[in-house]
Amino acid sequence: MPLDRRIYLDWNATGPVHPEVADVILPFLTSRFGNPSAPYVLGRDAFDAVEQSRRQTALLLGCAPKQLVFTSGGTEANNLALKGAFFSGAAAGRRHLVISAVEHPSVLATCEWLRQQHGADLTQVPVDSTGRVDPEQVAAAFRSDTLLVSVMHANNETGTLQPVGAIAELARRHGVLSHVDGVQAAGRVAVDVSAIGCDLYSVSAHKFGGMKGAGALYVRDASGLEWAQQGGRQEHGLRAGTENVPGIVALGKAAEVALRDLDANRAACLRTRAVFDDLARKIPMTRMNGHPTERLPNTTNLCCLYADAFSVVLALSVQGVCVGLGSACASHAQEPSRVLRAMGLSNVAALCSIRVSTGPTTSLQDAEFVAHLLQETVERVRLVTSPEQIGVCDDDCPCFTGGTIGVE
Amino acid sequence: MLQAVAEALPGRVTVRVVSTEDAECARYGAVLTPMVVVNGKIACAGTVPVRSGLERLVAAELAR
Repeated sequence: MPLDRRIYLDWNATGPVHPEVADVILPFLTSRFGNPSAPYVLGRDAFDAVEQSRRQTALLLGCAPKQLVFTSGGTEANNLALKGAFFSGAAAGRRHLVISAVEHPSVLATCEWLRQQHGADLTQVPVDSTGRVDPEQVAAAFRSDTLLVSVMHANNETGTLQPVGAIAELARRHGVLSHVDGVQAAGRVAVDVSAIGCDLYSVSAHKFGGMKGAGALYVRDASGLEWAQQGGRQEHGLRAGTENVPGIVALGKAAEVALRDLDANRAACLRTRAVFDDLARKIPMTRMNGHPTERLPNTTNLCCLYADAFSVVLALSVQGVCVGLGSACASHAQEPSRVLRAMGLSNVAALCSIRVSTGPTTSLQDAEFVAHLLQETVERVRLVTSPEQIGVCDDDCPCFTGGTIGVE
Repeated sequence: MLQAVAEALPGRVTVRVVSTEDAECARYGAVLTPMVVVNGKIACAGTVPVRSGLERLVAAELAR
């Protein structure tokens, strides 16, 4: 299957560069290649382009341009936020971090590294069966030495949106810094960091029409952060290293386009998402993982019990359809998704979960075609991957939530 | 197991084992073994098929 004939439904992993964005990048790869730190015209041109992007990105997030630090993407933004806050606050004896149980690995692994290497204390707050955190449970985890809470705006696997405004409000009342990983949300739902009230907010360009390798961190007050990366004085001295000018220009343009098209994109995504949400009703022994309403407009995570997800994803791939897997694929075995396990799914159910994430250009015709194909594929795979002793599971079947039936 | 399923249907089913080094295998994205492909469509990957289910699938394919 030629690459350009594929139906791509894994937009939470990445998406194409928006055509309007592609148009503005090209000169920065060829003629407008200056270093923004250089004093001559070519350098000033690159500097101006970076600052223009800062203004465009600030409009998307509802902040002042000077409150943005460009990074290499969401992972670096999350690292900078967590390490920067920790290395500043730990000196004052505040070493306790609070995160939700469904954070992205770039948050969880950074916190684990701070715990193991630098003596941080970490609390993970559980989520309910829809993947949502209760703000009161977050507040209950706060201690006198709590430095920071980090809860994502939207989950990458299920699309579930978190009550980040309520969490930021509670954090402020307790004198705790709040960080929001907004990588999946920015450009897809309205974001106003001032209204949310958080101290730090991470975004990644390639999730909303920009290039891979560029992102940004909103920093409400830079004085509270110790910056982990040393070198030149780029990004107001907050993030050393020559700027990725094409990537930053793309981020700014993508932010402008995403803000302009937000309502239309949301409506388009909701139309195609509904087709996949509906499969939870159409395919037997199937559930939707995630919140029914508080969810990204483009994301449906489906657990098709006893249809091995890896087999389903590869079977679709051979037929030109790209959907995401709800589990990490190690070299010799699959591991159930940590996020889905935290939501109460059994290992079996987690390994039978796939993620469909549409984009604004996904057509209804393609969505309906894939939904039909998915239904067929699940039936086929289920035939050869269902344990022999299993009959038909009803809605209360413990197979979904780790009961005694199944092959744990 | 595949051979046994085929032997139960003499002359009607051919079983072919393909190495993961083979380009044909790469076409199916076989990063986890075993992978079973029936009539060009992936039946399962990274997991051992259930025999009775495989028999039903093969029977369904032969009936088409």
